[in-house]
Amino acid sequence: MAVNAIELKNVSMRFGKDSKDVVKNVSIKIPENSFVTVLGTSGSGKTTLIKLINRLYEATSGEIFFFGKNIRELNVENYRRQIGYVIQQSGLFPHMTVEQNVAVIPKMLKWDEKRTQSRVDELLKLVRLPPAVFKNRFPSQLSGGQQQRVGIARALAANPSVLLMDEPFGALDAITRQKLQAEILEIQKRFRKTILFVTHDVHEAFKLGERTVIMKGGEIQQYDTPYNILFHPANEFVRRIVSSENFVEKLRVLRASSIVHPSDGIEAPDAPSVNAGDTLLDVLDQFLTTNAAAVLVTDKQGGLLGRITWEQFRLIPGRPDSEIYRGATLRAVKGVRQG
Amino acid sequence: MIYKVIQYISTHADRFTDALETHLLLSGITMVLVILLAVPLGILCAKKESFEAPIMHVVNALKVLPVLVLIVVMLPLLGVGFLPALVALLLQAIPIIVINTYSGFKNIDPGVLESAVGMGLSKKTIFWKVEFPLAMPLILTGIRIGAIDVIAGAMLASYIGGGGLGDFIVNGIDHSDHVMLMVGSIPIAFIAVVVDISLALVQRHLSRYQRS
Repeated sequence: MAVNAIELKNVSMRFGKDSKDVVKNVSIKIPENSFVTVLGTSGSGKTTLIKLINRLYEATSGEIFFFGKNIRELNVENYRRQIGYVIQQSGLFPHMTVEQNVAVIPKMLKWDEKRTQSRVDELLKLVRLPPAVFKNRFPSQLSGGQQQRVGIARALAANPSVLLMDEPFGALDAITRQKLQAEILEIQKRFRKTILFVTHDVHEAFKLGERTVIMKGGEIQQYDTPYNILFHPANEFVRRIVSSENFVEKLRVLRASSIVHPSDGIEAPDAPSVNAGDTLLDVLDQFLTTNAAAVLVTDKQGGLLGRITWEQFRLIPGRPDSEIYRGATLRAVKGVRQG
Repeated sequence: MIYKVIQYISTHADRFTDALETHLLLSGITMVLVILLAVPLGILCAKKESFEAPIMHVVNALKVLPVLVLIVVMLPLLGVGFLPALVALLLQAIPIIVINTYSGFKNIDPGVLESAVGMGLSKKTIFWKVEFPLAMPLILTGIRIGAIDVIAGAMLASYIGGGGLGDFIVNGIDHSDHVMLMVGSIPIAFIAVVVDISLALVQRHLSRYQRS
């Protein structure tokens, strides 16, 4: 059974005594190593939700668990150090250099100089900021995208298992945002982090999240895979949120891994292939340009995960309940293969 | 003229160094006390809402009083001499430093503080490593302005027997003696300029991160 990195049980929160709940009776489980996005308009309580998790706010009622432990029973500062926190305004310390910013938590944990140094270099390389160039710069000398990269490096410094990200790319231009989205996906997979990512952008929510929480008025409207949200909206509100997406748009935000089927082992040698992280639009593109009967889905290293046949693909819009969708996450498919 | 000023100083070296010493001592002690008093007051205002309004009202009222008025008011309260002059100068310099310290802390980007708390820094660490350094440039501006005011204001101490370089100036005015006036005013101007430049350099260093 999957371990839950974070679990909320009947959590409510209000600011003043007489005001109404900003978060209303929310119960949710975030499994370890999953990428969950929280989608909602402003005032939906999505930011409050993640601030409750790192205890910037205290829940008025209900309980929150971090790997099974009630967070109220943990030392709040120690607990927060196990969670990386990235916000939209980057929150970098303007009087510290990039290096000093990233080294804040390692220094506090009393790592020795050498270990801190190599960790800083490693992280800056990971977020594609060559240490030699950027280490000694101040945040004011960086672009918005670079600042967010430092923000991510800083959040990862002490190797936390969980990252909370509050609209981290909301203030960036489209191109930078896309680059950073791809990079955070890669970081999440490579280091097996649990990420809870708040956004108001439908595309971003579905592109990044294995599962998405849709919030409105402090309540969870639906917590499901992008596929199910797009094709089985739980209520009128969710339907409205995703209805603006036409079919092609829906394909654009769904990943190939969401409908991949186990391969039966007999594949055409010239069958086209896509990456598990590519979208269904890429899959469609392959079908339309190659005339193949099936498109293979591979992982990053080129290993075969499964395939999508044209028949299966055609079932997507019309019969969402059909056998085609199995709620397959990458791991589940891998499991089938190995079993 | 300059020659006469130098000549006067060399022939009255004892009197001059005494006055200079008193002047520096008066300004120096005032500045040390005012920093010890005004910076914590400013922090208190910024941190505790219940203190904000009362302290700020008093400070703003104090700000509009000219230093000469403060010095004269000290006469019936504390008599003449060094102490009343010190108190008057203290009251003169407090407002600007309290206000600047307060603004220094209040102007910190809330996002910076939010991520500091969110990443698990303790209150103490946040205060000393984040808030204080970020408020420092503005606090230093306050100290700079305060120091110049005090150095110049210390001249008025002479009116209530506080001594200092003001003695020469008051004498010079009384006797329409321009040389005497210069003996008092040139060193005061010189000290003020040197202090201002030194503090400006420190400030420049501390806020180097703001220049991109």
